[in-house]
Amino acid sequence: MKFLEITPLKIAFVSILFVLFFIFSLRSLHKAEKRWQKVLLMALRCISFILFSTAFLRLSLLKKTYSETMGKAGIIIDTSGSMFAGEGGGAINQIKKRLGELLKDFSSQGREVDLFTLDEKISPSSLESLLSIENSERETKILDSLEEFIRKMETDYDGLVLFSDGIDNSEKSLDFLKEKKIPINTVKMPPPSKKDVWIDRVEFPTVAFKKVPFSVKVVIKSEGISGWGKLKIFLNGELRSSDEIHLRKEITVVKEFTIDEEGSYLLHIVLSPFPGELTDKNNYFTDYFKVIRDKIRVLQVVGTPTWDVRFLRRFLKKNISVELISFMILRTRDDYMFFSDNELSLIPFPTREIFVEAIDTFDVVIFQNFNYAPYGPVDFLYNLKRVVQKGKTGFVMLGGDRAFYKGEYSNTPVEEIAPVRFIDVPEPYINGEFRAKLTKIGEVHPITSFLKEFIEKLPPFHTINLDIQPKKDSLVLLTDTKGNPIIIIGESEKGRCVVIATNSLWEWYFDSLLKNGFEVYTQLMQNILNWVTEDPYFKEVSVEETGEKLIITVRDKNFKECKKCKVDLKFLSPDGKIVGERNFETEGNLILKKDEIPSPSIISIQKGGSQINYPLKGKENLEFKNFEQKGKLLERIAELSGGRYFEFEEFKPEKARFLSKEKRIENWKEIKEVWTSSVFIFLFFGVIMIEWTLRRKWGMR
Amino acid sequence: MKRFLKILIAFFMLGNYNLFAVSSLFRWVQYRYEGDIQMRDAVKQVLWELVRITSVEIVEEPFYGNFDDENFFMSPFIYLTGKNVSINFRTDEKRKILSHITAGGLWLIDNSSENQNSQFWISVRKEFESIFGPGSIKPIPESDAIFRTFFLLQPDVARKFELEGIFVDGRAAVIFSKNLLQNATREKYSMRLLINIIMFSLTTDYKLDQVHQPFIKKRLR
Repeated sequence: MKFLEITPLKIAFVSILFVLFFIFSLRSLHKAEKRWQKVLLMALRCISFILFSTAFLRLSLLKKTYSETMGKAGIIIDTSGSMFAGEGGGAINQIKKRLGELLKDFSSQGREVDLFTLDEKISPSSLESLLSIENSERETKILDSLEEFIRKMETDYDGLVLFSDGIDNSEKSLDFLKEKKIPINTVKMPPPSKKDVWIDRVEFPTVAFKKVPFSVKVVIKSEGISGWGKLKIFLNGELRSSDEIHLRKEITVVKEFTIDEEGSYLLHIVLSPFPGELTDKNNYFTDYFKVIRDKIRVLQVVGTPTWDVRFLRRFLKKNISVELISFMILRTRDDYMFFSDNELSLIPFPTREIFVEAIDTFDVVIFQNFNYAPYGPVDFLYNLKRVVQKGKTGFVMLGGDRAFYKGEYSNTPVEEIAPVRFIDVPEPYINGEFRAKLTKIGEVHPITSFLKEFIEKLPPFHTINLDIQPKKDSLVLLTDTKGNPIIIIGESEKGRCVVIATNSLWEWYFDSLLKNGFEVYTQLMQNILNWVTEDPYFKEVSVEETGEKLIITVRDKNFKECKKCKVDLKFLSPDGKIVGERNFETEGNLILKKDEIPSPSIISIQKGGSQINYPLKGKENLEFKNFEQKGKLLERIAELSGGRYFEFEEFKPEKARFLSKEKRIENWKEIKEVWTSSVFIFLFFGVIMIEWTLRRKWGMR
Repeated sequence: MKRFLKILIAFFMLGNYNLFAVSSLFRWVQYRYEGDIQMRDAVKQVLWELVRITSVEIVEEPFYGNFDDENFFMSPFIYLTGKNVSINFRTDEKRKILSHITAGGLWLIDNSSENQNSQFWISVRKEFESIFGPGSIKPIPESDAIFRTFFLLQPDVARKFELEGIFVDGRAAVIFSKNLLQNATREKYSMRLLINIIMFSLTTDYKLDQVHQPFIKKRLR
């Protein structure tokens, strides 16, 4: 029992009414002769007031009732790419043909149905839109999307029916099915025709080393198809191998590549399509890898041992990123020669080995006070020029009495690549005190900018070469106080060269260490090494990928932020075709939105002579990788969730398992107000009549 | 001004203008102290041989100096010899020696006395052990780069010299020899070892590079 309209206001009203009623009743009862008559009349009046109050406050009787209804079912249809593969438009067409009939069957059972599609997620759909789907390249994520669907499900379904081929690219496990018990009936669609060829897997290093060969292993599988085909491998859009292959059930192709430049690379593999194969969408493979340098291979060729040689070697040997090959001329033709070989530890200077056989393998070649003439013909220097100009090798030349003009390098390939001309002057190499001074460019250039705070404290050099003259397009970073150039850098085609016109640089090393100061020498030489080997930090163009954006930073030759720099962008498809071009005039940074760039693609960025390729990774689509069901997935989903597994042909709605009806109870309350009952009315009016009758009988009004 | 006064004092007191100029070329720098031995002729002979035989270029005039001389420590090679006079370094001098050697400097300590218990020999070893720790002086093995930087000294010859050293960063940074300079003027292998030590100060472990090993192994008996 419950008052349906019990509010504080009504209670107050009833209370006031009762007080007034009580006072008036008492006053009207003074005519009653006997005390018991008064009490009886008062009791009857109070009863009638209470009955009135229960009616006023709507005292009611509540009653629980039960009804049975049939819950909804959700029908989920896999509309991912694999469902469209195969003859006759794929498995999806078989579903389309039966869908209308199936819906009718559900309806005849009195069960309402909601329709959904499944690919990378589960989305609500309708019969019309399902019938109108013609094609898809989307991936199947059965477990991922089912988990999300069940977690967020608003309607309390009796069960689900999933139509799928069971090809899944999910990352989730099946455990979630045990948590929320909702029967999932799975209907396995017949697999598409088995005739297919596909790239099953590709093995390659995610990180390869510059100038170190690495291999790419391609495993190709085939079902029901054989014959000759072509396998092409592209690296950053450049065709690097093309092979005729004879297709069998499984073949493996291994190719070896060597890359000379650091950076990110897009590996794209294409297998030519075969007649009659299920799809050629799995004849492609695209992925990315990085090329880094393992160690910088440095060749140090020395004309005579000096302290400058000793400390450069010490720096290079201590540097874990350097693999050092040193050759020092410890004895010249002018020296006393009459010792047997066994008395000396000397070896002949391997001119041919260095300049013909191994020159390509070095990242940096250093000539340190080295005069080439006694050790080989000028022809060998052409090889040095070749590798430098190709951008394979950086070149550093240090001064001394055997370097530059005195080293007879005028009109040689070395003079062509060096950022200076070697000139005949009366005093090519002099001793004295030469305090170093940064030029304006030197103050901002990344090789020498750090020297700004040390330059005043550094000791003077005691030697300097004057037999050099910077070329027009070179950059002088450091001079002496009279303006004689000491560090000069420049580019020769794709290569970078540095000239250091002194052999006293070691004094900075020795001095700074003796004073326990900053290792200026080490930092300077490291920067020079990084610059000549084009460490990404020292490139004029660099690319950074952040979330949705691609930030291209462009610097000018002096490594200042570029003002109105012309930048040409080309977007290349993985097989090297130009799919888009844009030209910019930018200041500093250029920001591109990734979703505006076709992917996967290679962005070729050109700024003057500086050019880099940056591969932009697209989303990997595993849908057409192969057409095998993932480990009896549909059977397991049905088993774990309490549903049933069907082959498509044998599925009927009445065979599917849903939650039982008994459990589908909904309760509601039947309300009966007390005042509407005949007993109440009889009692109410009965009390009033008795009171009235007694009052009249006892002579009261 | 202070420097000028130093030169004047050196000129008048020692009768010798002897200012150290930093050079990239090898210079014989000898540690000077009261009671030291300056074997100028022997040094000249060694340097003459060095220039005659090798491609090394030198500053001809040897330099005799110590911590008081400006730029003394800008020479990566320092020769120290003695006979009957004890060597005692102050704490700040020891600190400078440590810095010099850590930065890549090399000290050749040569006992000019036939006596293995000479005051010089005992004191100088003690002083260096106080810098680098007791037991830091160890025999230099005959496979060390010192014995093959220019001349190839066969193991039996190398052993005879009983060279000892203090190793820093894997290289012999302080070398203890017995009468090496004196013997170099009259004995072939001593001269060769001394030339090797000079070459070692300039090229360090160059001869241990892989490229030289097949040749050296072939020539070793």
